[in-house]
Amino acid sequence: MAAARRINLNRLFSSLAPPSSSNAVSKTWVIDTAAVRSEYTDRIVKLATQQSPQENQDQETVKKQEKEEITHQDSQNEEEDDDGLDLNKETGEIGGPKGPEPTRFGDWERNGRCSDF
Amino acid sequence: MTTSIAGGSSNLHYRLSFCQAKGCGQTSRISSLTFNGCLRDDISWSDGLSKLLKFQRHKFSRSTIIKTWKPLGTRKVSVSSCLRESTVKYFDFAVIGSGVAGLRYALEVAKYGTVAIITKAEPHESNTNYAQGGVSAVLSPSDSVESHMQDTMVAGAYLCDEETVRVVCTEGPDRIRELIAMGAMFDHGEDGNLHLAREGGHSHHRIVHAADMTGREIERALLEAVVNDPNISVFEHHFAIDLLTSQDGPDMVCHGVDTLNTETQQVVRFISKVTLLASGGAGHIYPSTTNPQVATGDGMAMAHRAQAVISNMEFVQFHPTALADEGLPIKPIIARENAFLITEAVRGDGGILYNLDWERFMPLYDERAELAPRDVVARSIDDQLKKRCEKYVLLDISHKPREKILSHFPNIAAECLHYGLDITRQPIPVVPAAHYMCGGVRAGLQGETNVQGLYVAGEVACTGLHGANRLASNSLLEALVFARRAVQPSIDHMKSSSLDLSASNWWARPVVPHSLGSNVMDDVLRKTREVRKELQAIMWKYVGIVRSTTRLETAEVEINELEAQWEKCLFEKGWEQTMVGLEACEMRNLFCCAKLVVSSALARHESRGLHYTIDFPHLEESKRLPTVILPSLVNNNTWSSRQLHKQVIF
Repeated sequence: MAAARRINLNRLFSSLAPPSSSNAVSKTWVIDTAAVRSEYTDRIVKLATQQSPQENQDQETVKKQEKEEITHQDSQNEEEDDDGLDLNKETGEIGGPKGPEPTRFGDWERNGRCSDF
Repeated sequence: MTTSIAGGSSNLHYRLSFCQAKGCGQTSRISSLTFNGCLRDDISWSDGLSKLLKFQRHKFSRSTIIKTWKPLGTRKVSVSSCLRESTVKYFDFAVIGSGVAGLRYALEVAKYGTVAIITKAEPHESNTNYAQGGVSAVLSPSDSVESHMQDTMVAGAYLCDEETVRVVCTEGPDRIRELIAMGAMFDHGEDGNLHLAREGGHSHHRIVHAADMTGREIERALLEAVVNDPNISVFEHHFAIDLLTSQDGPDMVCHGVDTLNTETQQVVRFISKVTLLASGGAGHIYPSTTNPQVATGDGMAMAHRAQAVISNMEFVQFHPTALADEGLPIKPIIARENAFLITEAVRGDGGILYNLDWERFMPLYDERAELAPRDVVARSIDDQLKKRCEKYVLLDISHKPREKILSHFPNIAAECLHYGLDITRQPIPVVPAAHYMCGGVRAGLQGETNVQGLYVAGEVACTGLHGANRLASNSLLEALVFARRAVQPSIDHMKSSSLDLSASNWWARPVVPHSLGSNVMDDVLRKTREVRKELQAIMWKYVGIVRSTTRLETAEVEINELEAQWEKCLFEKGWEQTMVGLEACEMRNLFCCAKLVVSSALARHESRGLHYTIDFPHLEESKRLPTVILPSLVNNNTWSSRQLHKQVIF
């Protein structure tokens, strides 16, 4: 499943790439949209039936804790979910940035570079 | 233009005092206008300015009509006539700018008529494309419009227009849903809902995003739809020179825009019933900015020259810590196009700020030191730089474990290493960078301006949403909402307008300076580039983050002198008033915007939000009003303050 990653022209148009100085920002991890969508839909249907009302609240608490413990979790942060869905365990996000929550210090950062605040 | 307001002075400043109906959500009414000492009657905010300038209601009176223009439905249509080197094209709607505001608007109005999108470079070159964060909207059941409104107003230091804030926060969610329907792919969480992040200043999770390239994703989805729309024609590499306006009684009317095709060096005149200005920001009035090269304030300048009202230009948002190229061991050969911002997380993780004498200065300004709010840090850095006449300060994280630095901030590490700096052992040189213009062309709730047929949306507009400081992720939202809101009035205006097809002859045409020869052109180019750098240096030195009346007045004098010197040089070489070139036209727009920022900053006798001045360092409740610059009616004696053509008066 993890192997099913092909270049996704929708998400990462090389023709729309910003100048080279910011190429370093966007990672070149890629997703096959169609494959992800079908896996994604199955998973969502499964998860939706299991979803508890507490989940949103728990996510918020978890996020706060993660922010406080950030310095102790480096080696675990980059771990990828390997059942095919691009899930960031720490933030609960699918298809999103890897690693810690980009907004944990108020601005929007990726790997150290800030793009919004 | 109502000359009765003129009072004989150019760059008129006056105060609108709001009566904010707190908590009631009523339309803010202007309780009094003090203008050169005179009081006026109550006027509602949304049409206050147009009424102010007209005094009496006048319906748009039609000028001589020859034909009714019927919208054509085929793609890339143009009724064009070629006249010597220049071309005229006729469209129902002209859109200047291809960021989220321009594209969103174009897609809607294209259902009613032909649309030209005019963009000065490639369509994706816009501030939108660089907006990598997200767009804010109330999309979670635990969130509320009131909360988003409150966060916005607090961030804006209560200078926001309440009605505008309500409209934007209320309509935001629908605009996001529409984007999704158009194919924009935002990230989801495990629960299948949109993944909402929470940025500084927001009390709820409400930032919708697509990985770390939200702007690019929105731009991609919109561009795809635009390309597939047969009613929309995109004119790339067309630089907008000046709006084509005429005075019809008391009304200023916009009939289109002159452009320069920078690839073919041909002037193209667009005649349109409706024009949307969505040309973005003006970051390049400063030497260090996150904005791409196209952001030279073209729209604000053109609008000002076209007699549109400009507002709140003093509120320029800076980020405190952008990588300072001057401090890198190996200087970049090619100047960085847009600034590399160092995240707050570096300070959050223990980074310390030092000046070049290795003095830790933050504790002098705030007991929270490096963890003080961003605005405080920005001011402190700016103060240090100005006091010490230095170009950057140092942000040192090297005392932290190497592995932690490299795993948290690989992007910074790589970028610095590329230029010979090892951030695990050496401090990072940083300097504040201009990021966003909260002010711009004054817009009503439908994106309308005081110029008939001219609408604005996005960063070029001042809608009242941001007030004195923008809340994170509200800029894409503002662009989406106002682009949408401008649609209906545009359609109405288009349907009620008729166009004289001979209109294209009403204004003198811009001229490409072939007659000057390449040597002269090289000189002009070289001089213009030097002058741009000098203007940016003046702006940073005197109109930075920490301001003072003396510095602002010095800026005013120096900018005027620099402008006079530049124009003299140009005209001595044979440059004529109607000649156009990309760099020269950008330069005149930069001068125009710089002067607007300085005038606005001088007019605000308090510190609020992004505008901080040591001569008036506190908030003054009585000054909680927008700064408004009315058109200059006299003393338009510089090239940057005049439209290229003569105005037509009926």
